[in-house]
Amino acid sequence: MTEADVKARLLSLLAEVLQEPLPAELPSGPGSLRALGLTSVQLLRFFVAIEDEFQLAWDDDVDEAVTSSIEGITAHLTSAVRR
Amino acid sequence: MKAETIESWTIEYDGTRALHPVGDGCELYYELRGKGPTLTFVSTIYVVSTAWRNYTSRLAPDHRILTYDLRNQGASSGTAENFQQHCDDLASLLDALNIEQTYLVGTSISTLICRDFAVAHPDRVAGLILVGPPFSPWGSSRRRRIAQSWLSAVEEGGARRLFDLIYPIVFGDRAIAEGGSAAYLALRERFLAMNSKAQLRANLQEAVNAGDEVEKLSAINAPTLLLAGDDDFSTTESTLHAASTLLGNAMVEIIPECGHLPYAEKTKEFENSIGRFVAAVEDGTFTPGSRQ
Repeated sequence: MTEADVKARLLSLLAEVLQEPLPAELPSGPGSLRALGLTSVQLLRFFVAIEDEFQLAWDDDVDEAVTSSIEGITAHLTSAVRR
Repeated sequence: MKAETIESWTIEYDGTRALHPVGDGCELYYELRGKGPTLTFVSTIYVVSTAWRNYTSRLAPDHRILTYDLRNQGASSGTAENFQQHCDDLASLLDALNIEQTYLVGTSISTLICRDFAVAHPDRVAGLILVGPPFSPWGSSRRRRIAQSWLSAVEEGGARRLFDLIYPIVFGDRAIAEGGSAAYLALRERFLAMNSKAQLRANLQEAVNAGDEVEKLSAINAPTLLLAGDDDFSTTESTLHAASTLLGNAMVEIIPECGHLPYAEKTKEFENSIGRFVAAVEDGTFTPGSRQ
């Protein structure tokens, strides 16, 4: 699975969790996920949906830089699914 | 915690900001809604005012609910020179909103603000609800050491280090087990988004400096509910009973399978407990004692 594939599936999950289309211009960079205004439960649902979609379990050791942006999560998952 | 437990955790600041100037350049963010006996929620270090929306849905239909950010917290500005300022800020806010009397709900370190307010303004307090109060009849040594260790964590590793330190302490066994890594990461991300290192440092320094002055409890006549989870790191049932003896007009209630944050872990039980207490005080049937 390429990084582009992972990102596309992530964005699809995110739209499902938000229950609305994503903005055309997504914020990027560290902390950018916060700019989308997810509530705590939406964030939790997003993380749980990722576990289901990619057949993996999150680990407590994941750095905060990973979980604060789509790019960070994408890179983390791309690496994880290739292992 | 289970996903459904935190279903409504939204703590975003909406566009309807109300700011109260307290006179020294500081402005307090507040929200006031509903009708009925007034419940004023005094935020603590890691709970911003907007979070209370999620823990008051059962109380909201029958109560007027005031929430606000402490100075130098959330959407409030200013800095705190001393702990007493929080007490003065609360008086100023109540004055501005023409609230003559209110129930005060404090949690963790903010229970000290509620206690000080009840001592300074006894006529304005209909009742006290002190959730996970850190004060002890035996003094403040333990609480201060805990606050100091949290402050050291912030200094050494910022908000992330503090979160990692407090997460397994403030949540109970069951919540942590059921939440798993997904809940840990989601709440960590939320905590980091809402709390700056500078604010946490300042607020924790206040907690270190705050005096417990246990003898003040004896000066409080207001009906008081001492409420805690049975898995609360900061107190025990016996400590609460000892504090209730000092207060004289207090009852102790313990929520099972719950840590330091009963409003988050056992929201329904938390709200029901407050609702029962306020109803009992309002209809004159409140009696000191214990309930579990």
